[in-house]
This record gives sequence, structure tokens and C-alpha cells, in this order.
Amino acid sequence: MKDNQPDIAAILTGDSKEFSVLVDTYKNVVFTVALRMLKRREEAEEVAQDTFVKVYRSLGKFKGESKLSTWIYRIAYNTCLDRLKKSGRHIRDIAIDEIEGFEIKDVDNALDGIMQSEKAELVRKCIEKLSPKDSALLTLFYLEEKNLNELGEILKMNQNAVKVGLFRARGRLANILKKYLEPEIIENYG
Amino acid sequence: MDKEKDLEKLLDKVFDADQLDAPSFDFTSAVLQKVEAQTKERFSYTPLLPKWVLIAIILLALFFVGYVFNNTDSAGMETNYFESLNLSTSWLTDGFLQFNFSRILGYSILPLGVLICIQASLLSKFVNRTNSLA
Repeated sequence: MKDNQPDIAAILTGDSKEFSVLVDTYKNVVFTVALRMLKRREEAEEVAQDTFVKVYRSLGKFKGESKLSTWIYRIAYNTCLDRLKKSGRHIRDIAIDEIEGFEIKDVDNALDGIMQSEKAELVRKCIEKLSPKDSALLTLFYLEEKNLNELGEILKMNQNAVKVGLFRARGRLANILKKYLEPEIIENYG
Repeated sequence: MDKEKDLEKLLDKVFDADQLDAPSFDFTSAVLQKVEAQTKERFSYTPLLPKWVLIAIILLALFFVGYVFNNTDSAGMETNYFESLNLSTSWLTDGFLQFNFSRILGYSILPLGVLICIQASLLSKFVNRTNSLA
């Protein structure tokens, strides 16, 4: 995905073609994170665009201490948080019950019985129910394969907090899945 | 520990079915347009007055100051500029005939004006530098 790395020096001299390479490289992740945090497509598109405008304006300050992708995702995450705060929506975790060990196996089995296309739609619906922070954390961890250190940089958390946050977010997503898959789980028992 | 492993296994399976969303097809061009609009906004400096108006004002001011200083009593500490212009028929001078201010005040305003001009140009250069992209 990152074979076509944008030339930062060229962008700084005003090369818009090179900047469009940067946008094309990261737009899907930035948009996905924005969509999952804000839950509204139009708003996510606007915030993702604002993120890249901010990236362009601050690229001169990027010193390469972290990966370019990590730096861009941090800007995206902060821009989403600003938007959520501005619109008065909550950022914190939503109270969701703990999932028990045996229930995880039930959800796993029920998930096996679902078609791939249905599974994608179901996952999307469940992620939508998560808090903005959990959604960003899981999306960046699983889809962008960011490690704990990079996730900490993006979300301004230490590694331990990221680890705990990931565990809890996984539990919450599993619990939401369980609720959606209840008919299949009952059927499996029957 | 088992619960943690089971959860990891389940989530691996869940995210295998998940994929990134894509923004609208003209997303990149919309970003470039926004950037271009902001760049123009930031860098297009339009002076309040056109250059020729500015030069005319400066020349007029110089002429006025020169005229006043050449036509006033060098020993006197006060002068009436409107009277010295000999425009006694003007409606403007009728109202301002009594308007006097000391030459000391005139001399002190002049360096203040020069300092403001220097500061304005230095500030303008500083702002341009901090706003530059590089």
C-alpha cells in the first residue's frame, strides 16, 4: 500500500501532483476512521478533507520522528475529536456489559454460520454502535495494522492504556455482536 | 487469559470480513481545491490603497510640510498651518482659523509616524514568513 510514498520535499515546494499522491495513499484510512468516529458520511468526508488541508499546512513541521501515516492519523483523530466536541456529542466509552468467556465461543460459532457478504454488513453495524474512541482504536489496529506504540502516539495514550483499551474495545464489540447474533446462537443450541 | 485469547481470535475473524470505506470519487480534487483556495487567501496581499495613490499622498504630505516650514516664522514656536496656506476664502479655513498646535508637537509626531511605518513593514514581513508553508 505504501510503495508509492509521497515526496514531502516536493510537496513543500508546492508540487500539487505529489500532494495528490499523499491524499490518494491515505484517504481511505482517514475517511474510514472519520466515518466510524462521526457515524455520518457527509460529515466524515468533510472532516477527512479538513484533515488533509491541515496536513498540507503543517507538513513543514513534520520532522519524521514518527511515521508519516501515524502523524496523519493523529491529525485525523484530533480533527474528529474537535468536531465531536463542537457538536456536543460524547466521546467517552458507552456502557456495555462484559461478555463472558463461554459467550465468546457462542458468538464465534454463530459468526461461522453467516455468509461473508452478510458478515461484512454485520461488522459494519456493530462498529457503528461503538464509541468514537473504540472505533478508531480497533480500525487502526486491525485494518491499518498499527502497533501499540503507534496507536499510543495517535491517541495520545501510553502503551499500557492502549493495551487495556484494546481489550475492553474487543469485549464491547463482541457483546454488541452477541446481541445481533442472538437468533443464530439460540438456533445453534437448538 | 483464555478469554483474552478467545476475544483476539474472534476479533481477527470479525475484521477479516471488514474493509476500508472509500470517500467520494472526487475527494482528492476537492482537497486540492480547498488547499488552493486557502493558499490564495493566505498569500494574495492586496494593499488598501493603490501604489499611485500612496505615492501621491506622500508627495502631497511632503509638499505640505515643506511649504509650511518655509513660510512660517522660524523664531515662532506656534504656527497656524491653514492661515499659512493663504486659503482664507475657503469654508474649511474659516472653521479652523483658531486651530493651532506647537511645532514641538509636529516634530514629535513625525518620528512617531516614521516608526509606525517601519514597524508595519517589519510586522508584515514577519507574518508572511510565519504563514509560509515551508
